[in-house]
Amino acid sequence: MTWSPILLDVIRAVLIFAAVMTLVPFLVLAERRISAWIQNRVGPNRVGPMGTLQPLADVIKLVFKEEIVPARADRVLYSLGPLLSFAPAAIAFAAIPVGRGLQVVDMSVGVLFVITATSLAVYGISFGGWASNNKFSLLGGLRSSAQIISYEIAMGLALISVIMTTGSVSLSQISEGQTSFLCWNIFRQPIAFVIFFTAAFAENNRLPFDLPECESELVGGYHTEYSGMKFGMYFLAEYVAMIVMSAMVVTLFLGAWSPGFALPEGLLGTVISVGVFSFKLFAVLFFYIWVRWTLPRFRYDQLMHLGWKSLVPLAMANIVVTGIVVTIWDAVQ
Amino acid sequence: MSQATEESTPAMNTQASARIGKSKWLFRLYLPAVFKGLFNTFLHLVKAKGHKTFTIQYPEVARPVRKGYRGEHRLKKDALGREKCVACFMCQTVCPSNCIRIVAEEAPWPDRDKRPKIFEIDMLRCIYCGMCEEACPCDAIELTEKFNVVSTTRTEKIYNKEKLLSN
Amino acid sequence: MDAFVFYISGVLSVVAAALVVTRKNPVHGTIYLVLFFLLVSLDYLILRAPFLAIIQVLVYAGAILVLFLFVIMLLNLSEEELRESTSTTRKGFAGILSAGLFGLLSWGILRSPTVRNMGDLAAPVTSPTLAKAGETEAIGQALFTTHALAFEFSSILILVAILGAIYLTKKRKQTSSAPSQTSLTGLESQEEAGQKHAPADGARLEKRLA
Repeated sequence: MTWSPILLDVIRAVLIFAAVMTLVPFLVLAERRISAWIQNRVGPNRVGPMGTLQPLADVIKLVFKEEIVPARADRVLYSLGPLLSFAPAAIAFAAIPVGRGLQVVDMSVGVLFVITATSLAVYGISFGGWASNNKFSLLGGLRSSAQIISYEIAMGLALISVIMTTGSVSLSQISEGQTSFLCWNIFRQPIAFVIFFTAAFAENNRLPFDLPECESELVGGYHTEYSGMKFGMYFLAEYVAMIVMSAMVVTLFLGAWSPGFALPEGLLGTVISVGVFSFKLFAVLFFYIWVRWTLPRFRYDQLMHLGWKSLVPLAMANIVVTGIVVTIWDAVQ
Repeated sequence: MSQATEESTPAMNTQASARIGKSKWLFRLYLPAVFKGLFNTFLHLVKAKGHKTFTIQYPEVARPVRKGYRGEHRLKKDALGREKCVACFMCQTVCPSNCIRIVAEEAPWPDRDKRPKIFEIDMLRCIYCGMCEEACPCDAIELTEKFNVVSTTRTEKIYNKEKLLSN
Repeated sequence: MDAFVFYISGVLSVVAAALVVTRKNPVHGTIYLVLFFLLVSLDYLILRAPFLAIIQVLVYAGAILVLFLFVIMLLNLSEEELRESTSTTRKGFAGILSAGLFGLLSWGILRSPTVRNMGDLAAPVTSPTLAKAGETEAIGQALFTTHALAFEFSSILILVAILGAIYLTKKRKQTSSAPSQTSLTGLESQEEAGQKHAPADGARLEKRLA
């Protein structure tokens, strides 16, 4: 084993991680500006030109804020919560191809890896909520665990039908299979796309499913007691998880890094593929933000009804239909 | 999702079902309403339908003060540059929050007996009701349109006669 | 390299497992259980079975333990309740039982002809079919051809378990006539969701709507 491949891996990992981390502050800024425009406001425009340095100011504020640990809180778990929430989301990005052949690890079980990693993020929220020794935090943590479990099922079932059409669980192979425009999975699996996207909102605790932190009922939900950089970590985790989920949506349904036609060989093609992937990623992220400032929050029982009684049966029916179609297609071929 | 229709009152229920009509499943699919909402917010986002931003960029653009706005107090002067106040204590008496303090002294001028030696208003207690202005027989005190006032200590907020005269 | 990772993960997983049973606080126990599952999945990775490794984490750490945690947090035992200790006889009984189970399992594994004929596990895998044996496709093939019957039986088992859960949580006729279905706190509906109450409730609702 020589050192150069390991070094290359490390460089790739650091590059992609750094790219995601720099994306987060600008995503926060985009969220604030877009929300302002939707609500006929202006949004942060004071720090730097057009408010572009606002994220920096926010980070400085968070770093220098006092960190408060509530009395009788479980100190270890309280500090561990934000980390446990952030780490899985960051790890998940390792398996996602951000361009042609640009991937930290090409895992044979890439889809499952990302889903697993994002599902582990629930521990950070639950533990943080429990450790805070606060009713609202505990309720937020509880809601989060129940919600993520419920929507994970719908998400997994939607994924199965995608895997059935592509015939692979490797993310690189799934993206290779969507090179031509009509092969994009959104056209082959529209129902799975809708289910997956809806479940992705729930997995990320984003509106309309942000019940774990629902301000009007639970103060701040699971992070009620958090302040300073620990809160910042939760904040970061939420946005990293959002980026990961958007990247998954792009990779699985929107043709990954493919612009819809064959790319030129060599470096040029790779660069273009990264550009196309980023463009699609930003489009999905914009949609996330757009939805957040459009839809009201679901009530908890509505959330459960939607998950268990609409999405899960729909996803199952989709699997059956996909199975029949795939079998007939194989027989015809 | 069916819970929503079930829990509404009977009247609302019939109304809703009448509006939804036959396409109940379409309503329960949520998606049409979601896309309608998304379209609406997008119009706001790009300001397509004559939407305008309501934000006033405050320090650069001042908000227009309405007529009759009650801001900080001012003591008026007459044509000779003397304060109009004759220290009659009317404003101090009428003030509901008891924030005016007057100490009178003999006036050096022939047209009045007294003038205020000390005239203090505690702006932290003042409720800006304008009763002093109404009570004043000499039209000596009035409320200006100044509202953007800052101070870093509490003592600074107790305005003395000089401050009020120059206001 | 593999052996090195195995020894470390092995020792750590034993420690984690020991901590799971010794922690007084069930929430702390859950954390160590998560750690234990992650370490076990590492073992699967060493055995070149990435699918199993991922499923181990996804199903156990990602789903089942979250439900455990949900119930533990819902009960939210106070420190006094946690301090209640079990009697020594019960502990001794449990110890003897676990030791017996451990002995039985080791005996069974060590005597198993499959394990004996496996040969040197540390040797690098040469055959391409064997190298792919832990991949998703190979497992899928085996599951739906060789072991199709066992697969179907286990799914029937799960179906029965689901039916049982639905029956247990189903409200009786007298109580269901009460219209107080609205849950204002959110906690109630969470309990419903946690106990897989939703399906039964749903069936009744559908009937009322029709």
